Amino acid sequence: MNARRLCAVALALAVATSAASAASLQVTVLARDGQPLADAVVTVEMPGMALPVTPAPVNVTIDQQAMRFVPSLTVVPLGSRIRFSNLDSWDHHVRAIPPDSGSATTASEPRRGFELRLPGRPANQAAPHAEGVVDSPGPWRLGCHLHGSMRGHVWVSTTPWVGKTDRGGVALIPDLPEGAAVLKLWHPEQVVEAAPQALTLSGSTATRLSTAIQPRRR
Amino acid sequence: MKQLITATALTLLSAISGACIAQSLPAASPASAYPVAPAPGLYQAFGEQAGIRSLMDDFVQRLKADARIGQQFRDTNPAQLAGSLTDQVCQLAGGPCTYKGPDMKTAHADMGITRADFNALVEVLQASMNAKGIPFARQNQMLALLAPMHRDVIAPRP
Repeated sequence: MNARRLCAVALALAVATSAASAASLQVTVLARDGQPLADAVVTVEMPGMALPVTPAPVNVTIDQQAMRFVPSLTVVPLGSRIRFSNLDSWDHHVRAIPPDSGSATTASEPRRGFELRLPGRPANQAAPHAEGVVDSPGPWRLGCHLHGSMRGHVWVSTTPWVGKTDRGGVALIPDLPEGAAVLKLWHPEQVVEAAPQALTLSGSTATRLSTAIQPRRR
Repeated sequence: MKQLITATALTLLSAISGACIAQSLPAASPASAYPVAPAPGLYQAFGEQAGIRSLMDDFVQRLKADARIGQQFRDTNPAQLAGSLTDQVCQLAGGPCTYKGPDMKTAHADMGITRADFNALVEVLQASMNAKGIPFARQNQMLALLAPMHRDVIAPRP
């Protein structure tokens, strides 16, 4: 009984101690016109600090609905399994292209990424689905060979220190160590890579990132 | 009394003509939200399903090569698009096909298609129909079925 209570106290202490030394970051990302920029991926790097443990892979679902990938941007750990689900009554296709693979593939080089074919969903029946694994880090492009206008992205992360901005342009990244950090930004519609921003993390840190990115009106 | 008879006759007449229109007009469907009855013999004039498929294969090839709007079809599977267009045009022309794809509004949402884009596509289709030797009058009967779609295809001004 006493031993158990002691354990509980020790655990609570350990949690409190780690929480005290941890920081959290709230980033507000703005588009070129000063409006909040949604669907930006913010990654935190801490130079001089040990790399964080790569998070365990997860299972997520991306829907194909009314000619869109929903959500249009998904952030997952490396090795995650993605289930694509077709909610439309017509057929769709999924082409998942890993980063750094141009559209031109030579005959000697095997085609990377994966392709799926999803039949249309019959009325009042479950949505057809198929899965693929994202096995290299960075921005994956999603397309549909049947409907060229469909675009989506999956950001594959090797670090837990990553967040995606919401409609208000805000990304929250908890459980960071305190100290000198560098913020890196990626957005599906960026023309050039934004310059990294240095800052110091301490407790609850909030910052703003102005970008030259102007998303197409949706 | 005379007035009553006239009114009844009018009601009857409108009921009958209403029934006739309902019979001759195809229902709104994903193929077109603005159904127009196809001209008699239009499906045959386009060479039925095989002729329409051949026309659409040519059309998609020309679309992809078009300097104005070809870019919009860059990532599109040509065989799939031609097959889908064949189903749609076949159905609109009165043929025994069912188009199962998205309605035109859903299919073109977010694309920002302009009137100029739409007109360019019509010109490419006309070039294809000319290449297939389809008579001008028949071409126009087909375009009359397709023209109302501009309301669903062209993006509203921001």
